[in-house]
Amino acid sequence: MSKRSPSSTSSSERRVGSDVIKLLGRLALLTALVLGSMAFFFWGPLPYKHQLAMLIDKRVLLDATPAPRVILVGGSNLMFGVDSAVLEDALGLPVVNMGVFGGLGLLAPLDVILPHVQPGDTVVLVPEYEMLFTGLAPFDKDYYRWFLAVDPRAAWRFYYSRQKPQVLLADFLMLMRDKLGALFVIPFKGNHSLAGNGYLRYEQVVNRFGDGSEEIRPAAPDQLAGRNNVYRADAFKPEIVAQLNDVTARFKARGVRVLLTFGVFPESEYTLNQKIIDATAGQLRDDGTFQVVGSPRDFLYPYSEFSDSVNHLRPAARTLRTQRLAVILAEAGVGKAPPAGARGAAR
Amino acid sequence: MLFNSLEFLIFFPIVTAGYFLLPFHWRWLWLLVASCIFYMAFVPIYILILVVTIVVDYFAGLLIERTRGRKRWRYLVTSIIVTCGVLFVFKYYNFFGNNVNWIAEQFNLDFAVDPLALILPIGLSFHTFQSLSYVIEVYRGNQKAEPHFGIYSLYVMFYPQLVAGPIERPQNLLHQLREKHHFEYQRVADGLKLMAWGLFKKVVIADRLAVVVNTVYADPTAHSGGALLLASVFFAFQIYCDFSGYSDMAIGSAQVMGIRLMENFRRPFASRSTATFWTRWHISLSLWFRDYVYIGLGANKFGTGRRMFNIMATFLLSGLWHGANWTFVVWGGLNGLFIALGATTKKTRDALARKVGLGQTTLPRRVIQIAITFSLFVFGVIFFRSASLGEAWYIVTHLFADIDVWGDKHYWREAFSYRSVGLDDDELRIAFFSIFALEAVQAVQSRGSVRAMLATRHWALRWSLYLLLIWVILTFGMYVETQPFIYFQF
Repeated sequence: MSKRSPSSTSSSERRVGSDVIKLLGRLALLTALVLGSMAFFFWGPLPYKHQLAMLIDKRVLLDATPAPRVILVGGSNLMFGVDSAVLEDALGLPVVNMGVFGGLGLLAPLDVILPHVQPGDTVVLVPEYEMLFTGLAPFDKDYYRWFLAVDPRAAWRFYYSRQKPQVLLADFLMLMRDKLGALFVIPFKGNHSLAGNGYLRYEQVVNRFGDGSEEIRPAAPDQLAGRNNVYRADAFKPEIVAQLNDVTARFKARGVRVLLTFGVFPESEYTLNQKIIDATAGQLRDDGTFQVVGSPRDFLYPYSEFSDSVNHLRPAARTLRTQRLAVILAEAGVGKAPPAGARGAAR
Repeated sequence: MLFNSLEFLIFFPIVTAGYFLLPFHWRWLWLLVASCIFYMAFVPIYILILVVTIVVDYFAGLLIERTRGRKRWRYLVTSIIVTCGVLFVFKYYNFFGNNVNWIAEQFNLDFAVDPLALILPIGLSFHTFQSLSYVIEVYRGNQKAEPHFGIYSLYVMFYPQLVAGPIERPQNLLHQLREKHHFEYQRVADGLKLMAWGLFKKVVIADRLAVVVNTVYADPTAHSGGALLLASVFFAFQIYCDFSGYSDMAIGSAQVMGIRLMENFRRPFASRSTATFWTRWHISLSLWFRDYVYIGLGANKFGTGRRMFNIMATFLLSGLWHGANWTFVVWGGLNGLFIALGATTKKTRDALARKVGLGQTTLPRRVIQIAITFSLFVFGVIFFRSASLGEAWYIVTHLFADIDVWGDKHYWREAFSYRSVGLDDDELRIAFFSIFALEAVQAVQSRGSVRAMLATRHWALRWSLYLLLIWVILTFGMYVETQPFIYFQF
């Protein structure tokens, strides 16, 4: 084998060295371009093509509403079951309806709301029964990404720090896809603002309080989603109270009052599950460090008052429910004192 | 370790950097250790199976080379029996037992073969065939026996192609493992681009289509003919993108280190006959069967009848290679049948085409031929994907069962709904668009290398396309429902 001269070896090494630098430089540039464009996309003024992105809009709404406020937290029983204008009028306090979707659970939404509350605020928890009986965490891991979109730091603290890095990466990329989805829709369907906070159609489907304003196509009473659910006698777990107490302590530390009341339910469904519902209400009242106001019976309606599920009310019943809620909250010392005889009238 | 995993994202740069930084005489060891780690990321203990076949075939190769006469033949046969024996025990024993038990039951015999509780080692059929090709080539005198045990081990275990090919020949790979490869910008960059393209096929197309295929094939009786048709066509693209995507990543990652693996796919869906299709699909396996089975059986030397028999035998064996199930055997048999029928009817078809004014190279004729070849492939993969022959038969007989309502738009809306196929409208649109993009790129590929064409374009266009590809892989890739590569199970 012939030996190479030192000069040819060093020139070949120099070429290899320059090739390595060239490749690393270009990879670094490409990485910077990818990360930069993603960062611009993530924080840039483009809404998401996903309904759950309205969590961002609702957080913005919360920040924009002066304290002291009444902050309603729960699932879609609030989104499609409360007339916040009526409530605000009755209580004399600004109302923010943070309810979006029961599948998000209760703990995660509270975690992202916590940094945005102020002393004097009242947080009213209105969990659906399904939430109380199946757990307060989001029903699906897919939903966590929306808390990442609302508040990355909070989401990291309560969820992503305990997950593998690829979960965070996958969820971040899913958010990118939801934003790209909006980019594809806007040019074709128009009528959307590029400078939205979260959900592409937020301004069309939600009013200035956070209530759902889009009409839901009503289903026949026997077609209501969630009908005929019979919960097991031991469905309510004591750790739910412990979790709610923990959250309450954190809100109280910020000078915020925490109340809990009950979601809407069809009368017949209540009859089916009366034992467990009443026992749960008793346990919440006895062991909770939060104040339980009203009773499950306060929010029972016939099937005909529900729109498409056992959690969503038709407009007329929403007003009735809100009036009832206003009376109960006022009796608990929230906002203005209720006028004499209002309790009976709102039933 | 999957190519589309975070682990590989860490593994690959470390192995590549180590390979180029280490002195030349240590590189084989570095690659061998890396390959062991890569393989042991699946089921660590199964590396012992590889060790057994490596030791047996390594010594068999040396002994075959050093001896003459019948002894050589005995060493070859011993090596083949041991290597195939391992394959038989892990892959075919239970299949064989089930069939023996079924026959015993038909004849009321009090006899039963007890099944073995074994998991099929990943890529077993691939490295078995690669080992076999080594001893056969040494026996035939086409390859010198490899004296270095480490280099031979690396030939079998080289991580990019260890678990799903391409099934290499010793003449192509062994000498490359002994050569010194320098870091060259253009070669490394091209390898990385090929890997990115393979990743796109896998995570954007194959894994997305897998959702539809898995949903529909999980319970075909619950789906309409339209959904069955969509899932079957999607499966054809899924398996192509999954496997060719893997091959691209394997070839690309080897290319980065200066090692050239053989081409495994060459735009098979543009084939105008099933015979051509099999020269463009899983090329390394087709060549293996051609060289060691079809030619071994006499190829076309003994007349048409014998040729047809050889084709059928080769494809039935190829079907069985894919899996220990009658569905694979039928799939292989169907492909053999298509080729045999194609060969015997060629003159008649050509004459018929000429009569209706369709010359061999006219566009309509080519389109018709491509469409028929693709349809036959889709028909075959219904058996490939189904869990049983009964299920495959149900799908085949129900694909067009409701053709009378195909004109009703509600029918298609329901057939393609989220409830039916497991993907929402947006995801389905992405799936169709991705397939379209793939076909468009492959149409360009028919005129030459896309990477070479891009190299002549303005840098801004090239960089925009790279950025777009990465964006698409990242944002439209399926990372939550990651699917293992289909061919890993073989």
